[in-house]
Amino acid sequence: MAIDLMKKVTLLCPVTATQRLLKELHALGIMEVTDVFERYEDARDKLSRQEISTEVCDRELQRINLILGLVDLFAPEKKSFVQGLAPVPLLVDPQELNRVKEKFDLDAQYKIAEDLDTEYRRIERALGETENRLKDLSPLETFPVAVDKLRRLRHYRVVFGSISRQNLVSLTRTAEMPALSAWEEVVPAAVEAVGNGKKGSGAQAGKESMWVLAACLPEAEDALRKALGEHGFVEIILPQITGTVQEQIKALEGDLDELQNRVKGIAAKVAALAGHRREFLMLKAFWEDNRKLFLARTSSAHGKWIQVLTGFIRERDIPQMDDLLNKYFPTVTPCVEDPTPEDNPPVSITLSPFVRPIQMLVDLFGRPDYKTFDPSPFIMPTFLLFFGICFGDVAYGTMLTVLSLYIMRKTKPYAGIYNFARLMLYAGIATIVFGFLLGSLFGDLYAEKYLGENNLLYRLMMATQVIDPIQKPIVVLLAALGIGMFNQFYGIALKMYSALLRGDKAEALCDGLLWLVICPGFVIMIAKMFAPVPAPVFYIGLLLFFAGALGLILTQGRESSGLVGRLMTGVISLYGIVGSYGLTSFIGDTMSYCRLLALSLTTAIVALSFNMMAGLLRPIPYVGLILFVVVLIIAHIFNFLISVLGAFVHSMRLIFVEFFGRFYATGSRPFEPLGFDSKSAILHRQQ
Amino acid sequence: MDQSLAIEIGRGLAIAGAGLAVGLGCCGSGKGIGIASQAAAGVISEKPDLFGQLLVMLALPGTQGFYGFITAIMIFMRTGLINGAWEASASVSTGVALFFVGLAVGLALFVSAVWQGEASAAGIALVARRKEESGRALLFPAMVETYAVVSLLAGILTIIWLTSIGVA
Repeated sequence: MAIDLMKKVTLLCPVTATQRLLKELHALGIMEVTDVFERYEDARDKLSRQEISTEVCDRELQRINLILGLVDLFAPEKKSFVQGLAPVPLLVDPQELNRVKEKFDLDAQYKIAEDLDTEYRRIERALGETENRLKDLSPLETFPVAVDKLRRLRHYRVVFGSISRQNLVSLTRTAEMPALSAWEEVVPAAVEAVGNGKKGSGAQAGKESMWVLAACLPEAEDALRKALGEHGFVEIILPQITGTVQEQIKALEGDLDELQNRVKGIAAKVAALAGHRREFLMLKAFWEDNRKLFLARTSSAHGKWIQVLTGFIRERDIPQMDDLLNKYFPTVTPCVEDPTPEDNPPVSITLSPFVRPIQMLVDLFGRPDYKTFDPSPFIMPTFLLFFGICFGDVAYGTMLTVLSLYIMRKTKPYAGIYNFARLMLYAGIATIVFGFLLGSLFGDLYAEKYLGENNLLYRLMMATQVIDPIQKPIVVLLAALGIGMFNQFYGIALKMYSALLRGDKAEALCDGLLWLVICPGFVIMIAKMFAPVPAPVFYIGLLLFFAGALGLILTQGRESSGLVGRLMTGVISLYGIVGSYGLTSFIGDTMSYCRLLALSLTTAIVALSFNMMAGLLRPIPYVGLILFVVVLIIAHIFNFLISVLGAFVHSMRLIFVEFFGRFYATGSRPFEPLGFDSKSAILHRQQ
Repeated sequence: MDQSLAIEIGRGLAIAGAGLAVGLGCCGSGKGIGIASQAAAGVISEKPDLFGQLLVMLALPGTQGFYGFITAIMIFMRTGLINGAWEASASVSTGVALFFVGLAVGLALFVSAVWQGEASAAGIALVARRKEESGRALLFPAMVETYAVVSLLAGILTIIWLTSIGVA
């Protein structure tokens, strides 16, 4: 179980049977359709592509999107916080989908939705206009005179605006004021807002202003405006309304209420439409999928009578394809071949249910090359080891295990979430194991000062604890570095395995085995600087180091030209600038594993600190115990969330950067067979 | 110097160092989360379905605050402050050393949290365009956090060593 063997397949079928054949292949979901001219470049002048129109699908999708848009606007689906965190597509039974497809009257629903949408847009426009008019009028709400009266004056001209009190005083004293004019303060309050709103710069913001209504004979209008303008007067254009501003505002507010009531009416009608949300989503999924099926045909090409379809199929699915062709398409001729390295076949991975959850991590990094191997089973133990150390706590592990089991139960049909929950289940178990080994249960909540002398949990934890990372951090640090070192060796061994799979024995020996010789020797030599190392061990280390170094110097430059060039490259490769690895990379990558200790300490110390803080509340009379428990619950949930995130991210990083860096090469694309494919829903046959 | 005065000065400096570690760490985390939140809010306004994935990304710079907290607690624990007794290593020089440990760890946490926020924002922009890249996008801020982890570890070890052997 690993990377599935892939075959490339070419189907020659009568042009008239193509669509039916594609539908059957789509139903089976066993063949990935690829561009025919990628495989048969020289057939371009003999075959031609068929013009495919997706107009029908696009039209239906457009109609459904309009309905769903309206439904989401007025009757959005209520989702809990958890559902919001991990939205899932709709689960659809194929029979139910067929039933909806045949019996659901989308046309009628669309007609209702379209009418409601049109009406809503009209109301929305009217609402916008009314609100804008209200916004314009509201600063003049207290203007006392019927505005239309000021416009119908025959023998006078009126100018209305704002002016600061200071300027008004100077205006009254000026001799420039035309003789045939008069002015009057209208409403002293709320002028500043008008000035700012209407004339921005001329409003003299921040100074006390007032409204002024000035009148003059027609021949004095220009002189009046000039005199006012020179004193900072800001003219306000009176609105084209009948009656007072206040009356107009009242009328507009009445209109606004009516419009809003009409919107409520639309919302009520849309709520009735929302009752069919599931049907709309199902139909959306159907048309999305149908569109892709149409487009799949554009990958093929045809001559006068024959259509050519190309693609890839898993070797194990070939009998299924043969059955289909023999039964329903006897005139179709299949041609199955082994893929060549130039074909770049897609990668399909089959794993046992136990290992399958870890594939998620591999997919995040990228699928392996077809000619190598799937690393999923190999990273499973390392991921769980890292996670367990970083998060090690019996109680947190139990919480994670229970939570994962619950999510698994609820999300079985959703492969992605289900597998993630299953991975977390394993991680939870690893956390419990390391919690016992590191002596952590909600930090030190089992301690005698919290749960009494010689309590059961205390005895259990003491019996299982191997080391306390807070008391002996150096030992745990060395253990973390040791894990890092062995993980590096493990990675190099996998590199050798990968090279051997490709038949490259030279790479397995030179870029794998020789590093496995030099690195342990190097570690023994370094260890001598910090701790006593028995002489025989030290000499073995020296021997390994120099043997490995000699081998690497002679082989790492094997692709360089000239003896000197080869030797120079070999020497430099020991450091790590060139070549497949290097002692600096070995040291750097190994040191990175010290984060295992840091994260382990983080989980433990934060838990311990929360216990300590909660413990301070316990002596409070009457409510102390309750406060102690409440603070503990909140604090430990918080620490659980923060620490689980850190443990996951850093374990993933150690695998992606320090471990995959040793051996893993991505670059292939996943196998995507033609089949039901929609973002809105997934097909799930009900039990 | 009077022994009791030396203890008082040492205690004050150690507490100041703890305060700096937690203060700078929390300030950095606040700023980092703020940067990531601005990016996430913009994306969620258009694509609310990404909330779950983005929540993880914007929570990442929050860990530095806790690293600062751990440093502070370690100083309190190892110097006996929590038990009300300045016993572990009662000297001015230990206090000075702990002050600078707190300061250095705090600075590293502050800077790394801010940059982690920037890296998270970049990752959020990536997820907004390509939802399937959420796993890889998570790695960018995780790379920045490495150095917060290193400073925390160095800080913890230094605190343990300082308070175990004392400083002459």
